[in-house]
Amino acid sequence: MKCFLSLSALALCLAGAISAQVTYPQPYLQALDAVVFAPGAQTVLSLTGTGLDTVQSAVLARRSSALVKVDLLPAKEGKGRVLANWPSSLAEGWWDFRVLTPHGLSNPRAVLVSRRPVTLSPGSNDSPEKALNLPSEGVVSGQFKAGAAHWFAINLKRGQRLQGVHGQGTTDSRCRLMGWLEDPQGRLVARLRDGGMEALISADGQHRLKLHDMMFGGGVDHHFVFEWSCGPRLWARGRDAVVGWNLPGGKDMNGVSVDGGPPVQWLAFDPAKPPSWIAAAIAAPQLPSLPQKLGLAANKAGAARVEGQVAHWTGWFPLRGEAMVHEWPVKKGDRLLAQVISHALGFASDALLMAEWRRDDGKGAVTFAAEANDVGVLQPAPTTRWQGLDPSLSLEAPADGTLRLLVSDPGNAANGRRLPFELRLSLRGKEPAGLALDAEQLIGFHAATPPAAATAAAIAAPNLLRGGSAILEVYVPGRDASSAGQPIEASAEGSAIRLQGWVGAGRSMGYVSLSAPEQVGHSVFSLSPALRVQNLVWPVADVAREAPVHRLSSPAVFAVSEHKAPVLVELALKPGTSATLAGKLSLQVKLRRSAEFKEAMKLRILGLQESAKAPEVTVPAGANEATIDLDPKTLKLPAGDLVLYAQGTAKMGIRAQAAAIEAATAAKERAAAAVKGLAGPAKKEPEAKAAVPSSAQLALAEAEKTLAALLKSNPSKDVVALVHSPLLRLELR
Amino acid sequence: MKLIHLAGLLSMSAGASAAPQEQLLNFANDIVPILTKGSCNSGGCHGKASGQNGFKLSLLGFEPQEDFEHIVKEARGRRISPSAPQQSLFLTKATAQVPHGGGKKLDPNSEEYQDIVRWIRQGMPYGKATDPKMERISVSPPAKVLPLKGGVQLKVTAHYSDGSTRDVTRRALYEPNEKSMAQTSESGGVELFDLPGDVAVMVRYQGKVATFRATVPLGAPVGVQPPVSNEIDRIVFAKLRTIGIPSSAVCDDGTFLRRATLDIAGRLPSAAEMKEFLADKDSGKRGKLIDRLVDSEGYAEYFANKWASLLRNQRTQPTFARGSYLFWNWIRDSLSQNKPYDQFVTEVVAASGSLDQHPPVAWYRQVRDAKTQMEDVAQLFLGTRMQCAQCHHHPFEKWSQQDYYGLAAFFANVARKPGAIRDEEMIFSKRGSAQMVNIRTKQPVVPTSLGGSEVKLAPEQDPRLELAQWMRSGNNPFFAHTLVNRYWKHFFNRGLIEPEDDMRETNPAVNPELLEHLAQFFVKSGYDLKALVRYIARSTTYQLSAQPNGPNEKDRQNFSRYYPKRLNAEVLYDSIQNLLEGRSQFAGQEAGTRAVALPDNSYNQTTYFLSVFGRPDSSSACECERTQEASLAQSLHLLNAADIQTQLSRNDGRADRLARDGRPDDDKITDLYHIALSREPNPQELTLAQKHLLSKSSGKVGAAEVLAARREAFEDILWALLNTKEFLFNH
Repeated sequence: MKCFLSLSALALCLAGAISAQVTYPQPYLQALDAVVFAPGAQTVLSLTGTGLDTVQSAVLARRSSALVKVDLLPAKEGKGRVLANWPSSLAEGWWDFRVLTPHGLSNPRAVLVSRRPVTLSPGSNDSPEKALNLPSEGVVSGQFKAGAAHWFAINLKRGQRLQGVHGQGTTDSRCRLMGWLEDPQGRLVARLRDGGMEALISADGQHRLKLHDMMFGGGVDHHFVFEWSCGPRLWARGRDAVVGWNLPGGKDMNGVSVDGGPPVQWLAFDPAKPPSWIAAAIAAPQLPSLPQKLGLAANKAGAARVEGQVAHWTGWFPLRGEAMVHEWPVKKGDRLLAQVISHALGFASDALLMAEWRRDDGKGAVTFAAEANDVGVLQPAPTTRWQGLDPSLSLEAPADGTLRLLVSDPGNAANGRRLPFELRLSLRGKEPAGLALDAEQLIGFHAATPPAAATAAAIAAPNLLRGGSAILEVYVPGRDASSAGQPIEASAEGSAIRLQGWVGAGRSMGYVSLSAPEQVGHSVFSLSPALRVQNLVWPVADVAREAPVHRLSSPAVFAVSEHKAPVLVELALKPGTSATLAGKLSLQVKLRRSAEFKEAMKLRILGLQESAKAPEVTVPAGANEATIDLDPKTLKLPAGDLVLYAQGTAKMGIRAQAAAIEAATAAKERAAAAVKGLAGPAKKEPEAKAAVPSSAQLALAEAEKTLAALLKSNPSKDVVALVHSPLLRLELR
Repeated sequence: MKLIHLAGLLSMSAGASAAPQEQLLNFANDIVPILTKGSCNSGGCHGKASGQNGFKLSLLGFEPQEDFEHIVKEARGRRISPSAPQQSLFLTKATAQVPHGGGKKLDPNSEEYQDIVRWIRQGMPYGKATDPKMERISVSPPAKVLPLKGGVQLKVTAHYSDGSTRDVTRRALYEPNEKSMAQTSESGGVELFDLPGDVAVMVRYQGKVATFRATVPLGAPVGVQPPVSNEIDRIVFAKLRTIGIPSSAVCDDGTFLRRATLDIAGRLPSAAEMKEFLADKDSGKRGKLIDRLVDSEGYAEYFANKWASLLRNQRTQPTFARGSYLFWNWIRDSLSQNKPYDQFVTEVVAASGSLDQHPPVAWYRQVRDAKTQMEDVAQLFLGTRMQCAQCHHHPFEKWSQQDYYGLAAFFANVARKPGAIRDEEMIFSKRGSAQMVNIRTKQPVVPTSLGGSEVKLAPEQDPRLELAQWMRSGNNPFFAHTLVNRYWKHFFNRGLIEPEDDMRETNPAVNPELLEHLAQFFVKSGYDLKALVRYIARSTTYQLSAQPNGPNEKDRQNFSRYYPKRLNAEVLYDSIQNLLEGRSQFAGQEAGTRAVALPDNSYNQTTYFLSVFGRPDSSSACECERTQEASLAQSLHLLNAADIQTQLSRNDGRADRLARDGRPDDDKITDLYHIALSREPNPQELTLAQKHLLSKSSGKVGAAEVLAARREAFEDILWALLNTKEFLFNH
């Protein structure tokens, strides 16, 4: 099933065309034929996608690990195949795999690094008689053909407790894996459910495992990875505890089922000395994070843990959608923020948070205050829809008394599942000075993602042009109309990238701009590791007809491409004006054009409100600046910090081997400068020439020849790139 | 001493020419029943929503005050002539003295006519608030054992709030539930035909109902009955002895194997299974077979097919495909792991979240509002058809509109929000007080269980969970009974109550003791569906032969023999594929997927066989949506359809393989009978088949010609087998 459009194309916003379609050749990785690697192994890969002709290396990333870059060499197996030598020190587990080309970095695809025996299922094992033998533990991966299942045979012993896991919905596969395990007599032992399988083996002998896509789809997009062992399987992990099955030393949690099946086990440990088996335990990708100090007690609200101005409770949502009640004393006028944190940790919950007041008047009457199931409207709305954000409530105590917070998970009321949560209650007015991107629950959105269509251009991670900027939208939870503006502190490890981040007053969406100085070479870097960034998994032709599928990945990884930006955009307050609510807001856009870019440029001013209504300004052809006047009242802007940026498209010519061409150009210029220097001032030809040693002239000729050859063999191709200005922060009074 | 309320004792009213001391008639008690008896206020006439020819009455007289307005006051009272009662249009129409579309409904010499005249003469009194109200009716005798072609005159008595009674036999309505067994007269006479069994006559008067039950024994000598395996047999055989119907003998092993495999796993037994079963000398082999079948995935798939249809797992648009797969898989898994039925129902009724979190929310895609949700739940899980009570009091049952809206109120807080995937919704229960508005009284109604009291709920409670809790409580009179009746019908082709989802006082079970026993068994087992299936299948009653023994030939309700039933569409499709060694290919499915394992209705459009043989479209909660009636189209399809012919004549199909098979023809023909009919061919059948093989290949020269001829002969034999009633039916 073809799911990719041939060249990336940025669809036009609903507000009207503001620019040409983006055609910058960002690499798009649709699929790779092998998604399981062993550390130290050599793998030949076939990559499917576009813009992959000039793949240079693979970049592996995952939370709490440094980036791993592995060169991809042309494989002798033929065109489109590459060879990777995986480092033997590569840690086991799931990673995000991206490819790097001269134009930038691709979107991620989930891969598994495992020391377990890996079996590639050929697909010819499509009947019980042709079942492929598997060892008693390992990983099997393969690709389904439409209408077919894969069969396997495993020798098991009575009493073993087999655990199996596959990353339901998190492995960038369109496949929804289903299957079952049957005993030597053909009786069903266990089924795959909810991303996993637990089977108590009751007879020795050869068991058969059947795996298939729920809807019997097929193709490169329908790959699967199934990992099994008779050891522990993790369901969630925290800093000081894990939850799962078959945990050595684990305690059964009575009555707590996370998947509607048998109860889970719980194991607490010293964070400084985690059990060694945890690293090797099987687990799905993107393991949810347990709230800190969750505890074994599941059935009632515990005491709050107080840290500064924040009270934390942790617990497990009660069964049947019932509410767990937490109470906190308040004084009249206290401004509070209550937040549930569960979905943000990776759990499939749909929390409902309700607040009630109980007055200290001796009667104990309780009055309803507010409730929330989803987060409120984000201001401004991100360019990409994201669902399932945890609820929060901003409250002000009407009198002395008690605040009652009721937390429930009605979405899982009927299916017997209980999921963990953390409830935080903060006293407003004491926000930290700066928000670290390390802070949990921040979610980044690539600002390039267009609303009208989600095509390949939107799928790739933002790639900075040298000398250019990219913008990351960042959802900051726990903010409301009364929140002050705050800086977002971000770091890009070990790179010269300039970062600047702010969330404006009364806003829930902030921005981080990333600027790459021109001298920064083609490189890869990641942002602060805890930030998760939304990635589009599959392109769709029209988001009005088909909902795009996204997933979060962490850390956020970016690349600086080989190419220079065709234009640098700066946004500033027009000199001689001020930012006042009562008056006009006059902004000035300045361009620093490259020699080739002479066309008019239309720019949108973003950060004010929803992107579809962004005001626009045009810098005429040949000109370098323009102004735009905005009315703060019409735009309903609040007083306080305002964070803006400009976005537009610009044509640029790109050549393959850009770095080599740049180096040759620099060499030629050096050679020419050397010749000129040697020729001396005010000397006419041929005396000037005669003054230059032949070696220098030869060097110049060589450099010119090299450059000419490179230019000839790498003709320029015009593309349209997306460009941004850095952030502009204004204080609107 | 009870007062006898005599018609004709009227009180004086101003302006009326009533006799002094005459007791005034009461409109609701005395006049409305006349209209009901005459069908004037039926749904086909003045009782329909738009009335008839400008004159509207409430359906079946459920709203006497409205009827009074229409008759006496509407159109400036033109229907009544107080000064000349017999000239009232109301009467001249009814007696056909003036043209009347409904014909003559009253005889001027009748008591009913006289009562209306008297009422008009009295000044058309409505009646006083203190007038006695009718509380119930009783029928005498309530039950009787009657001979074939016997009869009885019923007497119906109305009981009033003041303790008085009245003989309302002439004005009551009568309807038997088995029209093949009995008929009734206008005056309450019951006349039986020549079918033995049980028949109930529903008696209706003024919105109240009562039942007369006749037991009609055959009276034949019963003799020695088959051995009793469990309590089912004890109850059934006791009833057979009472009514004098001898049971057929226990069926042979081959018949039992075929029957049980079809009923439990929805497929034919293989030839190997048949040989093994017939050769097994273990006296407990039937029980072991049942256990194997119940524990097989075939059971889960077959019953998932049933439940998916009832739970409306419909693909009404292409984007619903994912949800219908998820839902079907959930149903199948629930049955496979033998989830207790009460938990299964709770998870459907109270489904919340997204399709990924909880696939049963797919049910809510098709039932969009509280009323439809309630109606489906009531019909499916409580065996009660509440639809009628939405607009008026249920005509055949005690449920009122208040009951209707009280039950619907459990779904009043169901809300939806868009899910992450296009066209998928998340279902949740919104906070607040759950209530519906009774469209007649315009008053709010809070959640109220059927026949129970209002349920007090906190605003954050999900009322559906309370409903589920009430349903699954061990003393709920509907929940377990409905399920066991449904499953009884699955195995016996006839429920203890028919239709299986129309359980009401006026439609009693043919064997109430058995129904009650099965319900109690089911509850005590923890709502264990597999245990119920085992219990039924292990009974001797289930294992009786379908062959009548003369006296029980006409028995249709006492289970003195097995009642044959045509294989349903999916099972028949799979059986034919199996017989012809075909390999199905359904879109979005693995090759060889059984038709009983298809997840939704979309395949009915693409596979003509399924629709022509009545596979339901999953658009209702009624099993009646599946049609089992024979039709010409079905016969023609089996005889001539291209897909059947293609499978018959396919290279490497069964006919082709048998033609090449070097074994003796006898063995091959026997194999075919094993597969198709689960028995040995008799000598005549064997001879016929052998002769056909010989005649087809005689005169053929050369190996290729002979092979082709023999292949054709085997195709003919296969074609003939699959067109036999024995193949098409489960017997």
